[in-house]
Amino acid sequence: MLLNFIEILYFLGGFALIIGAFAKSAQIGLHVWLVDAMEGPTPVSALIHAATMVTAGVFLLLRIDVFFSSINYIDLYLFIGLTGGITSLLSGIAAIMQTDIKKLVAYSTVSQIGYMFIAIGAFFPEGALYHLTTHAFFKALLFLCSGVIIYYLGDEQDLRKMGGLFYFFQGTVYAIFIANLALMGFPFLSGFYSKDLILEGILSNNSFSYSILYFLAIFSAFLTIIYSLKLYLFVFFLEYKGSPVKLKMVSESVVYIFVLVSLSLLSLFSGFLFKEVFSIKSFYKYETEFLIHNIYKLIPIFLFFFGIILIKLRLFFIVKDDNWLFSNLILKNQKKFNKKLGEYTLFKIFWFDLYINKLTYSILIFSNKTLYKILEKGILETYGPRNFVQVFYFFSILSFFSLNEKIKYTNSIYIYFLVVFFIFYLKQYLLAFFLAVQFYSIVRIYNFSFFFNHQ
Amino acid sequence: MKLEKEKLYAFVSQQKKKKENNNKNLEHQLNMIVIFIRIFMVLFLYILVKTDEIPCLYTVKFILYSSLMNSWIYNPLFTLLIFMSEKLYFVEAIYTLAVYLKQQGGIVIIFLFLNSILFLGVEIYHNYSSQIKRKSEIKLWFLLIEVLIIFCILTTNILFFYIAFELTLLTFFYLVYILGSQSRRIHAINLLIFYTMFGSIFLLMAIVLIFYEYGTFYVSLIDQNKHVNVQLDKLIFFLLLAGFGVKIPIFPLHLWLLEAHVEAHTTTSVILAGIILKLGGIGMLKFMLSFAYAAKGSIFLSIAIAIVAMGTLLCGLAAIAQLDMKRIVAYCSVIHMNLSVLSFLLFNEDSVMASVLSMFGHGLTAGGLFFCIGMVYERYGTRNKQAFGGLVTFMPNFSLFFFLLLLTNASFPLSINFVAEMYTFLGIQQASSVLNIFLLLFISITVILSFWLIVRVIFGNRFIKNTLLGKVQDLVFYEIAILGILISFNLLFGFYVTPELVATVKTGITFVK
Repeated sequence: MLLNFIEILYFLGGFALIIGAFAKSAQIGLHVWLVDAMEGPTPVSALIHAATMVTAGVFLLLRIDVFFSSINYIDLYLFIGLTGGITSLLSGIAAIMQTDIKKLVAYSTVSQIGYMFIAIGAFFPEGALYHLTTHAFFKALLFLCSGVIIYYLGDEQDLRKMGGLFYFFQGTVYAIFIANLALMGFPFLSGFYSKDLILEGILSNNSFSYSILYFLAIFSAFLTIIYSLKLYLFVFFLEYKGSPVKLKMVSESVVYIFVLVSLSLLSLFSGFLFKEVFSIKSFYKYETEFLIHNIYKLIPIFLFFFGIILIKLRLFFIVKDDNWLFSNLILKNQKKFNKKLGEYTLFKIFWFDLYINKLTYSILIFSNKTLYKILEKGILETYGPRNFVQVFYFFSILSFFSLNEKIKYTNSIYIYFLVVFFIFYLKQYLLAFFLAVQFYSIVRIYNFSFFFNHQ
Repeated sequence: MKLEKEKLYAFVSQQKKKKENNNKNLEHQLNMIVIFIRIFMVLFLYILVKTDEIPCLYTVKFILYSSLMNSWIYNPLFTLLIFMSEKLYFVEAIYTLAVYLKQQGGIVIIFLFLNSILFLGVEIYHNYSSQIKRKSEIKLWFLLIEVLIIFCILTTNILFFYIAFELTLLTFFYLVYILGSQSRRIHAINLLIFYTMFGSIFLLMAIVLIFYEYGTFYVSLIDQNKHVNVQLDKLIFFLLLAGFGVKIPIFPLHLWLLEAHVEAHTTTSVILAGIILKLGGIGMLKFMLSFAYAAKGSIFLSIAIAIVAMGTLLCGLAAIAQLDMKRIVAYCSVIHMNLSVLSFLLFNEDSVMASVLSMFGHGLTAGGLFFCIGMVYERYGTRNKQAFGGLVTFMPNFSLFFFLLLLTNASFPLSINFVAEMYTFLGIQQASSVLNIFLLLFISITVILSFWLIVRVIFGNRFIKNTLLGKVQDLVFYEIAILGILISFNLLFGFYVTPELVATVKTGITFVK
């Protein structure tokens, strides 16, 4: 036994819990369900895929933070932080390329939850909780506004068929504007307080290996700016690219005002109102706001303006048939790039769907071909029904008195005498004979061609 | 000529109508005969066993008073007669029965409860359904099965258990072979008979050895001091395991169950999966715990545990590719029963508790699922899961019950199966932490199986699957009653596991050390 067996056990327990949290909160390997769950209605998504269910993994890790700090075998905090950072990156890139409103917002939730995991990995779980609460408000607002737009346009979800609806939906414009600014971290809105606090908390770690988390967080913030403004741009500005029938049907209704207004108020003021509730420990514990250079506080604002400049220049959104990154480059070199690789690798983050489907398919094929056909229908039935029953037919007394099938069953007489002789004189070799008969029966019955690949 | 022909036709048609009327009267009469035979059977048993054999006496009373409930549905006047005749001994009988049951423990109570629930559902189904042929014969044979099962549950004598155990075979022979309708039932009945006979040989040998060594058949009353010969006890233990292992289908010997379920009617498969498999488990729990001390450190036990564990995995994976829904549920029953056997073979209090609870939960779920599949088969004529999709559009009430039953099959929280799985986790952790990983695999496989059916059969797009389903009648009142009863008891005990339940079960478990 190893001397640190208990430590390994603790590590394994923590590791298993972390993977459970990854599955529930849709991190990189197990994020597919969230994207495909957008088939459901938007209120459902607003509740569970923005605020409550996907944050259960984060909450688990918050409650178990004490346990993780006592693990000495391997440092799990880096693992959490890196996976969170990678998910936020890749999902942000995927969100840039999406054509569907709801999938865009789904990928944005994935990236924001990655942000929370970065916070946990940087020894700052209170910041994760803070971001969790503020994120719930503006993300739910985003989901509901997108649902409202889908409803107004008669179940039109494709971004490529919308545009120029600014003067039709004033109420939703207000709501989405506020939600986007909160998401991007506009100063003194709710997202600003939580996001910048997390950035400061990351910087409070004095080790080199944790500094990478800062870059990942910054880059993910940059990407949030881009895809949130993309949504805003494609829905409300540019020219309308859909069917004119739906434009005629468009009419904004008064029913949704209460919901949108309440959530927008919360996303505006919740950061300021609840900042002492969640972050009081951090202000006195870390004191990073006084020890950081000024530039670290101005980087988010700089990114904000940089993103707006990029969008004005339309570098990322060259709108031809499809909307993908660097579409001009790929159009020129289309023979070099395989169409799959160029267009859709990052559209769904490196084909996780496909590999999972292949895995399930392989399990099914294995279960049918080998387990069922060879094991159950083959081996177990030879030792069971097939030979056993045929033995009874073979030894049946009717064979003596059958006129038609004389040739098949006349051998049974000789076998009776053989068995008697064998039992009395050759008792010691019974077992060997029995096993030999079994092997012979299998070899005789089986077609071993399955093991050789044929087409 | 024409007039004569017309007269002939008229005469023949009149004769046909008379025959139809006669048949209806015959069925009505046969139903009454079944009720009379019930009473005569009771009296016959009472007269047969005038010894101190308590369970016979109280099977009699138990059946009477359970049959009162079941017969009230279709013959209330007759039940009043029975009740008024037994008026004087009603209270005394119940009191003595309660005392006897308390001595034995909660295992008996749980399985009698299960028995009564399932047979209530079965009798309701038999009474009101129109798709059964030869109704009176089926009712007779189910009555016999009920008596035998109660007898098995209440005995402490291993010989009587064996007798009743084997008589159930006879009933199943009739139900599967003679009342079956498909050509593959010959293969099924061959498997059933030969496998169970093969196992009962070992049981008989064990019984003989017990009597040879200890002089009694009452296994639980043997003193601890008389367990001197450890080698013999080990042999007895493994013979019993082999004997019961055919009935609880342990992995290599499970082929008969799959075939029998496919060939049988709904009610036969309900009883088979609901109680008959548990008879083996009951035998295990009653008669093997006193010999368990001898088998604790042996290699054969670890081999058995390994075979059972691998068997559940292989059965689970083989069930994913099946097309017949009855076979899928049969595989699920094999998995659940093998889990209970695995937890039993570890000899902890928690694990034995888990085996009992898993059997109880599985009885309710399997019974309900077979009823559901029977309802679908009545309406559509197929059991192929590829032929279904979007069943919720035609049968929404049914889809609710089917959904809940499949969730309980997947050991979802708020069901007994979940409680049992948590207890297995505890029990296995006390023995070895590596087996727990296998347990997680098994849970995931059962979840996959049940959710496959939920997603593809109940909720799904039938236009993509090109199904030709049509509008059918949703559930009728008696079907709702059956399924509602089964589900409600499962959820009731799953919501709140009472300490009384736990205590009653633990009193029935007595280890010899």
